[in-house]
Amino acid sequence: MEVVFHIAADLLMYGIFVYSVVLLLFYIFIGLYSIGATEEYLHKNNFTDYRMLVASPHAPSVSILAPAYNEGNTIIENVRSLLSLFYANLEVVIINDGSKDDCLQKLIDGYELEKVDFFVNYQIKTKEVRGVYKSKNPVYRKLVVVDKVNGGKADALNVGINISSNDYIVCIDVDCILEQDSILKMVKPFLEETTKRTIASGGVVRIANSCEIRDGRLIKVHLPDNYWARMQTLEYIRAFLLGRMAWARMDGLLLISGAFGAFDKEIAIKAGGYDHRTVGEDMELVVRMRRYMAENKLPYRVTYIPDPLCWTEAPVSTKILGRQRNRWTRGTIETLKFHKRMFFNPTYGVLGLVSYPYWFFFEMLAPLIEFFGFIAFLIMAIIGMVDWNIFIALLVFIVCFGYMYSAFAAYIEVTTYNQYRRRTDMAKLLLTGLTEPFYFHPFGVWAAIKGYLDIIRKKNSWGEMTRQGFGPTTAKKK
Amino acid sequence: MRTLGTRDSFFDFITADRLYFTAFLFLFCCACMIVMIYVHLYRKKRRYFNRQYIESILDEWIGAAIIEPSVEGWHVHVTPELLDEFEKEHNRQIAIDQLINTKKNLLGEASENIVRLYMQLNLQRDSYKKMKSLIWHKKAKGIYELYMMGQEDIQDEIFKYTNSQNEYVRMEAQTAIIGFQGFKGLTFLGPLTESLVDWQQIKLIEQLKPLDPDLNAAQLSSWLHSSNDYVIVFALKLAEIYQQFYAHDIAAQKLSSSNDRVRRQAILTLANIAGDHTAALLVAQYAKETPQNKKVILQNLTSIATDNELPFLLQELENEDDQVKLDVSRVLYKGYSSGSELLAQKAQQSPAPYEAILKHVKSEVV
Amino acid sequence: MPKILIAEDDPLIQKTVALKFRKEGFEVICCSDGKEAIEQISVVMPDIVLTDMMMPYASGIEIVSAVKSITEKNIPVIVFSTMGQEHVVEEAFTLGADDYVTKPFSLTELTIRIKRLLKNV
Repeated sequence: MEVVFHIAADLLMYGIFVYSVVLLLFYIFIGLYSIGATEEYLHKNNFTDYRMLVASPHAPSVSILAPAYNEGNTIIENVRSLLSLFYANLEVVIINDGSKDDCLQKLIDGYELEKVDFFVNYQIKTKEVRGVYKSKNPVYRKLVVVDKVNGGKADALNVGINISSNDYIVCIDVDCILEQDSILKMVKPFLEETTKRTIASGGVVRIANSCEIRDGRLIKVHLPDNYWARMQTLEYIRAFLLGRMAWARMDGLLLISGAFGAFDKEIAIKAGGYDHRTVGEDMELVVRMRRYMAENKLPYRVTYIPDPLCWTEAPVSTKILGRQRNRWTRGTIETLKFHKRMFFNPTYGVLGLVSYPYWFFFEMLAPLIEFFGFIAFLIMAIIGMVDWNIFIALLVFIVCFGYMYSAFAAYIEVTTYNQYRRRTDMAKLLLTGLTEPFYFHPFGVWAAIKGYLDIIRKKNSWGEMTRQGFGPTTAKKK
Repeated sequence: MRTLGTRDSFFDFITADRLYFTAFLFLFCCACMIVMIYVHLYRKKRRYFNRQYIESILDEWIGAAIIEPSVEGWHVHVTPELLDEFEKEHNRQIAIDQLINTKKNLLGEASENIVRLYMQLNLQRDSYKKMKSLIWHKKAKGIYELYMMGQEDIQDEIFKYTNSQNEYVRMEAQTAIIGFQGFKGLTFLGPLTESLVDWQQIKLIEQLKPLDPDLNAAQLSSWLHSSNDYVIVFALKLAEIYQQFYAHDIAAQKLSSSNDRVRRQAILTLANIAGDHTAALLVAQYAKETPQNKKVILQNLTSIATDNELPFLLQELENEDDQVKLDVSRVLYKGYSSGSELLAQKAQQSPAPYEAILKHVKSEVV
Repeated sequence: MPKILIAEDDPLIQKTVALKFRKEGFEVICCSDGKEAIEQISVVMPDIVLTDMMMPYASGIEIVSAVKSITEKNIPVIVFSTMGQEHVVEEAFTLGADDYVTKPFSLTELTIRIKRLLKNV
């Protein structure tokens, strides 16, 4: 009996150790592999004259889809920001997902909207559309507002897909601040395709907390004052600048942020549109679109733009942050479950052989392994099966690796986009990083564990995400 | 020294000491990164002030270049100290960038002096050197600079790069040649074997836009018969935009291409240089097409459809795909005087969905 | 000294045009974004306004509107546009713009047009 126990303990220890080492190696690989990719992109961008595309009649038509739910506070400001983007052949579709507040009325008043006769082709099945509104004022001709019965973000986006008249869709969170030339940059990969069809293009999401924002435009970047937001800044830099860049380079990008992503509408429809059964609908759609192309043997690619094009408000309270991480975990689990066919399946190339397994082991299972692994080791140390020295050494080893990785990410950020100009900013960011293994990361793991519990209890909601708004909300009257 | 594990095994070498040692290495790397960050920031700041300084000098010279009349032999007075500053490659690049950015916006006399300033500082040497580099982005930048500064004498050399394997070098070279020679520069399409992506096609079209059209029929026809599908698509676009009616029959031939894109562009071109039988041609093509191309056909029938096409349209009006119903309704409403009546009848017969469709189409026209 | 207000976000164009017109004897007021421009116009009351069509915060259209809504003074407006933005220019004209110049432009031509418009006022 004791022998069995020992073997089990051994397996556990070695298992966790191997897991950690593989994970660290992956991180190192991602870190190094991403370097070349960002550099290359920056070189390519040196030449590109984006302005010429802005008003060309030959430029592709793009629809921005922004679902809105109870955004009454900030909706006028948000829409104004979207309407001022640099792109002529643009349609801004705001989908009012049955808001309980005055969101729709504010839009009607603020942008002189009137209901128009619109034939809604329910190409993707959605909840009912109550009305489509366009502006009487030619200055706002790009704006289309759709009022529908509440159905959730995925459903709202699908309505947007049905309504939009253009070839390419850019799906965003309505309160995101987009850079002026973001549409241009996101559309470019679709125009550069040769043998492989570009089906989706992802962008970088940056943290807007504490940044100076006026009239829906980002004026100056500041490092967030709030600890949680600051911590997320570092996290986002690691994830977006290193992680996604490397995956994109390998053509294994599984996730495009729901806050900012461009898609080929035709493929999105063929793949079936967003799935409302999951809270991770953004990730799930990309995976499904990729599967569609792979299963139909159509050569394709998913690209990624590392430029900071989209700024969003990060959660600042543990409650809301916890809900967000909980949701992300549930979304990941649901998505991977839907597509378990891809696990180590060569039909799906890099996606099936590398991306999916990585996400399964090192993103989905990671919180579980960390949590239970830590407890197991702790117990073993307490009962003397493992030397305390080793246990602590292992922790120190992992924590120092984390520091090194964060420092590396900070270095890449400074040498590429350098959004945080002040010397004190970098110092603050790095110091915040020091606390990560002890505070932020365990918090994240705990939120993820709760996500697991919720899935087991079959929860299926977004929870309440309340918005702070970016600053003094002065609704401009025309 | 206890190891990880309760018995001798492969993992014996994982000792606490070794773990601490590796952790220390990590911290050392971390410290190096941090040092590098600050070194980088410091250097950046230095470079920034240097840049401001150099640009202020340039501002003065550029100001003079713009305001003073353009005469052969115009130049600015450069003191020996400043000459030294402009010996540094970094500063020369700043100068090139500033001159290009200014010239980009100006035509006429003002820009002539800018070019004189460029040559006075011998900057074309730097640009040429870049063009000769083996690194793709330097090469492309070099070509870009030479083109922006009007260095026409290098044209023939640049032409060789229009079919370069690297797409960015290729694009800059093509842009440069069109910039120098206008429509005549399109000869690069002949030997082009590499791809010509939509992005570049749009760029070239926008470049050609302000110029007086000067398309050679024989050349255009040869491009339409190219073995490179990209060239065919581009040539079809040119035929569409510049209304080259003689290309109609060749464009019609392209409807049998195996490449979706070629066929799609052929449809667009035919619709724009339509003859009496074009509509019939497109309708005949419709059945064989992909859904995407079918949509393009419907969208372009409005201005060219005749009564002959009516039966086809009425048939397609019954298509199970609502999107097709909508597209067809548009053609009927906008393209036929009896269109609205036909649709109204249909709407009476089957209100769902034709009534809503009719209302939609009506509101579009208002 | 006639006053010209330039609404242009590209600093080089701003500098270039400002330089030229100061030499020509104008008082030049520069604005780098649409909002600033609209504010400045009612404060400064320039004799002529030169505006880019694509500006941060407010498009050239809004600026033209703002200028033409000033009833105390008839201020001519010239719009800058990039090649190929004819429909935007068209819109500007329906709102009352007096002339347009496409980029890249000739400084001499621009000067002539501005002087002509000022003479007609």
